[in-house]
Amino acid sequence: MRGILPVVTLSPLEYRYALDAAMPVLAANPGPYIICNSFLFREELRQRLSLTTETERPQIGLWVEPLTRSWETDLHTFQKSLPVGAPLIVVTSRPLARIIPERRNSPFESALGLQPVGIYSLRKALKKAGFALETTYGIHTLTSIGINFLSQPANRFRLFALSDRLLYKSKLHYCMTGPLSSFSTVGLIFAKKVVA
Amino acid sequence: MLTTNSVTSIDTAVARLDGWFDTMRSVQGYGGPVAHWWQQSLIYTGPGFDWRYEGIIAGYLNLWERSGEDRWLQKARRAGDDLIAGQLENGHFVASAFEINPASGGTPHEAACAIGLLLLALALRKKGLEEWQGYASGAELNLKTFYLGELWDEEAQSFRDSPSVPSFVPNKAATAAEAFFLLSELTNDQLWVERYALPNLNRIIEHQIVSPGSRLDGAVAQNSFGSRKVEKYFPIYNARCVPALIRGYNWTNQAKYLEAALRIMHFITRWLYEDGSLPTVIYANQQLNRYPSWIAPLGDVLRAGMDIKPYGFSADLTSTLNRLLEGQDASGGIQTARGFAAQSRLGRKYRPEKPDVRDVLHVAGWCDKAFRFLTSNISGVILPAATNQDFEIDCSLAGKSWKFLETVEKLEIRHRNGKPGYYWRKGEQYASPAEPDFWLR
Repeated sequence: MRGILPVVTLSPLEYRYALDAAMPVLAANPGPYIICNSFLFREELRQRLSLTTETERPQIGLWVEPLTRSWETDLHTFQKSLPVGAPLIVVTSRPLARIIPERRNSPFESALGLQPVGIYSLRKALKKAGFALETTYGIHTLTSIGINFLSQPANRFRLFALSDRLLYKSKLHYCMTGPLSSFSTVGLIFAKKVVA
Repeated sequence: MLTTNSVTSIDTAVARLDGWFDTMRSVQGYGGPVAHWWQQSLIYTGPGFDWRYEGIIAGYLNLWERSGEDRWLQKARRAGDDLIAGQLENGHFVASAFEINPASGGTPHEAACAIGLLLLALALRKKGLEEWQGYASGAELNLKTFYLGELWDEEAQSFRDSPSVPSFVPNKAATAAEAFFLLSELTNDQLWVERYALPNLNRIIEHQIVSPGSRLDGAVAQNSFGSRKVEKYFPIYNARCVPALIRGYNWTNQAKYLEAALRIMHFITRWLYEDGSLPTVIYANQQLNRYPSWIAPLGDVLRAGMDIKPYGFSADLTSTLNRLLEGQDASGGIQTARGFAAQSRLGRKYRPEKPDVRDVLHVAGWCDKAFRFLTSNISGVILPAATNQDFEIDCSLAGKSWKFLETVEKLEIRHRNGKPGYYWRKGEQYASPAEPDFWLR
């Protein structure tokens, strides 16, 4: 059932944001093939999807938090399981995720995206495996972190209105594409299988 | 009852709102996207078992009590059944977090759901219908397991906003207090009020500014962490404290509760603009943010004004009522606000060319507030027949122009060139497709 996890146990916003962003595509392609390497995110997926809907012929793939030790095997699985034309959505931490307070003590050291060239390697391997990269988004970007950071001294100097406005301004820059998107805490990759 | 020269307008508005609510239902309950000050939930559009059910149930009960027509009771019961079906064994309601959905444990939302269930149980019991017990049990389970089991802070003698953080949010505590007043009424057990509701009201009063002559006199601080108050004052949230304080006065006959409630209403009317709108937030230094300037949420301000009128509150809120009614669109839904785009604006004055998508969004969890108030003020026993038509408007989001179309079946937002940017087929759990501009949280 959707929406069971209590608010106080939710994952950091950037991960929920990425999963929510994936939902419109997942909703349009029922029966996803899912590889989720984190118990935490598996619960977040359960908030949003019926995980029993996996079928023998999935029309879409969702890959949450590829790990350094298994990502090549996982990619091979997606390559075998998905038909040509099927979308593959990848949600991955990025090196900046280390600054997220809630994740500092989480066991995610083996996340591929945390490695300096992890996402670069992944993107390269996706192409080699027959997936066309459509768009890569950075979520919780350095721009939004910077603007949010400015809101804190504003608050300390009792410039409350300015502080709140900066906070909401930062939300407008929470997600972006392009080269600067690498400087974000979470990556969201939309790919499509184009070669059998 | 609020006196107005637009009594017929209220009847029509209620009939159209009722029709619109029906379009927002799936088998499981009332859904739809959410726009709010804190966050948005535009992608998850499934049912939300949150404070929308407070106003929906109370509104349909109002209509039933005033007309005796069974169809309104059936709708109130259907909403109560949604909640019971959406309740977990641990007492929580699924997807109860409104703008944070999907998640359970939303505050004040679960207490607001309990209020809806308790109002329904009381109404059914009064009518001699035995089914009241199921709704009462659902409310009691939530209040005991969540509010008493997780949020009650024995040392502070109030409800926390989060189980592990010493925190207090007056408007949320007021909603919980109202639920405990109703539980006492239902069970004839004074404990719920004496032990839990009144101590929370006392803490609300501790958060109120008492400074005669100041424009902030009567304002209640938004929240506190331990002893540190967050000195932000939201008029609509302040208004949500008023009904509970009136209940406190009626229970104890202690003037402090009524004085606090009156003070809040004087604070609110002091900041009322000519067009009936209010600032969204006023800060301790009296700076403010006027935007998003609420429309449908004003139902709670009007309800507070109506509830306190017999106790000597005499300000004229007609302009606010007119603003609310003028916000109703052809679909029957009432717009959320004006000026969402200006929420984060730095420096420049807000001169909107087009409304923001979030302004014109009709949100079940805001329209319920309008519905609850308006249903208390219908003139006749039989509502006029109303039709829900397509609503179309040019709007903007993230600096782009969009065409917004709501019908009884869908909400569709397209680029100017006709390309779809956002599509929600009513009843579905998620919008699809939804371009990145709509991922906004």
